[in-house]
Amino acid sequence: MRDLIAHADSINHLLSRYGVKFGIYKNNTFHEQLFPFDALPRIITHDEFVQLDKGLRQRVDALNMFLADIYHEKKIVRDGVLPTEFLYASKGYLPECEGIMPPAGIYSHISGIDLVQAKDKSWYILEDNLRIPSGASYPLIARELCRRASPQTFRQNDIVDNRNYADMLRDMMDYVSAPGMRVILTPGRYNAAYFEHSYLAERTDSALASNADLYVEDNKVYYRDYLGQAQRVGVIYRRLSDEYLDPLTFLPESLIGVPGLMNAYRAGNVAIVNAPGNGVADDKGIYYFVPKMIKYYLGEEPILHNAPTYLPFYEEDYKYVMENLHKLVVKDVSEAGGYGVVFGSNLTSEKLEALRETIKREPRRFIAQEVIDFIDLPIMEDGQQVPRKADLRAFVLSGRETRVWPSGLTRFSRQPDSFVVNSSQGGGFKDTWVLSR
Amino acid sequence: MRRFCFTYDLALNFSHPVSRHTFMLRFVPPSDAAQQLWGVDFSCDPQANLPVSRDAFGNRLLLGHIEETHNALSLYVRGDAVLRGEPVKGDCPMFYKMHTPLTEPDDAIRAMADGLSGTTEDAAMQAAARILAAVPYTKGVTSERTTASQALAAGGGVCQDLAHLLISVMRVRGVPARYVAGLIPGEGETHAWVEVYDGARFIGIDPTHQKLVDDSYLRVNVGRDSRDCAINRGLFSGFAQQAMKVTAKMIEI
Repeated sequence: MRDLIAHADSINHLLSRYGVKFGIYKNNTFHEQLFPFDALPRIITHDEFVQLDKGLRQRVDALNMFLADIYHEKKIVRDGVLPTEFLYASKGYLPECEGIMPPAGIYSHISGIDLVQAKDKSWYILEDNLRIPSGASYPLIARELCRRASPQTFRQNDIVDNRNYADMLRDMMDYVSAPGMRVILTPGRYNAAYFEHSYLAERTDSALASNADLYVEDNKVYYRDYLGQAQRVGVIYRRLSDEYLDPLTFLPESLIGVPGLMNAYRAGNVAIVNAPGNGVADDKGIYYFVPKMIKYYLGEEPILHNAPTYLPFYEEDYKYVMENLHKLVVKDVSEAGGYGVVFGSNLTSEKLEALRETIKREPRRFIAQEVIDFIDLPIMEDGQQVPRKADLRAFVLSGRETRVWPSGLTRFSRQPDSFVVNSSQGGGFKDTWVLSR
Repeated sequence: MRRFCFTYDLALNFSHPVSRHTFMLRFVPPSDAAQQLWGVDFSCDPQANLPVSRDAFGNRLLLGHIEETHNALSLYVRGDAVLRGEPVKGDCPMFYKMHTPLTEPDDAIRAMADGLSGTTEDAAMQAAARILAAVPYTKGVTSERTTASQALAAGGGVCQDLAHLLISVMRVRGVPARYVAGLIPGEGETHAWVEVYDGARFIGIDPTHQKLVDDSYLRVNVGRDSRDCAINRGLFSGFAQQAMKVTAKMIEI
């Protein structure tokens, strides 16, 4: 471990040299930022991981069943488990996806589930990311560099090798693929996660394509290679969001989409990873219902718990939220990336009042959660270990079977006392070790 | 019951050659209890395969791709139809109750939804009368992107705007309503009207002509609003201005 700390600077230097960066837009200009790496790993014990693995697979399986149900029969709504309002008011619900059964029936192929560990060691789910969860490449490449910097660390500790992520990804893509090649579709180099797109394309032996490389003919998707030859595409791991995917179906002004893609997809001639329309299942308002989905679809008790959540939409919860706003965290269901998250305890009484009014006007737009006092992890700052809040994004891949990647992205807040760990908010990341015994 | 022959002619001319052109033509009218189609035929110049595809609203559409450079594109559809003018029975997807950006109501639209009475059909006819009084049929005031509330504020609009307004008012009342793009006898552009759902049937109402849909209406597409029903959409590569000419015709036979 001391070895790794000693090498932290050189690892960060290499990360920056390899272009391990993410981009953000601020005041309409594009900046690339480094994602600071901290050498002290998060360690998950073998027993802990066994529990997490079971719980995550259960959750993702239920979410996949939910998506198939929502875009077909909607039994969960008809049976009164999910109120109609929540489904149809969710921005992530796309009527354009009604009736589409994706190849192999899988909607969420790559699920990024964000968890935190409370002081009593129990894990809580903070949110599900089922659209385009990013971030797996960061711990992947950091592990690679750590192994190079200090091989003995990985010989002396029983750490599960996590370098199989790309193989897992590729197996999954092949499993759901229609006849044809693998493609990773990127919106281009001004995207926040462009580094990851190119890295994963290389590692999965997929073509890294922009929309100009793809076209739809005869309800099938083709890739124009560098000789101008057309090759059939079987699976597209797309890194652009639903509304830009196909200008003939979604936003007509999208210049980064592939016209006609949704028709090829609806005809079953191409797999799209992840399926369009998944936003309905990772909506912060739908989150509340996930434990109910697990019972409804699987007849099982949820193994992993949600953070205690209140929906102001329900009268009982509304009252509680109004009375306890000062100690709750309020999230705008339509925002992501750590935006639209407000801690009641940080607000002045006027601002608290204003928030009350906003919730009163649009109760469906917010959820409120108890602030979980999650554990601090040590990070190195100026040669000293200091405690910081951290979360874990676990990656679950659904193909022939549902598998949890034995690693994950541990993000931490660089500000003391801050609970917001998102990279777009200036956080850093760590390697995540899962112990093999 | 009446019999008609219809044609739809789309001509695109480009100021400079274009290529990599993907286009969609949503003009494959369905056969159902209200209308029976036969002899439907399509053609395309330059030649391209036009596989039939479906959308989420049950409409069929043609999807073509022309990789090579071309200066013009024309698409032609013809067919015969027997029209019965009966409301179609069936289940109604719940999303027809939800507003879209084009039908999002404002206070003026909500006020219009107040005090309508009687059956779904009665209420819709009353609403249609109020709408036409407030928004007389006027060309050139609105565009295809005008929302229901903008059309009401403008005090004028075309069949598309009147249809969006009626949909908006009915959805405010909790009644599922959908947009219909189709043809009526005559020559010119396509027409638009509304279907409201009364719990069992989709009842067609034409706010522009203030009447219930009868056996002179051919339904081509349905959707939540005009965007879902867009008859043609396409994207090409090239620095060119595009001139579009649409001629739709339906004559009794």
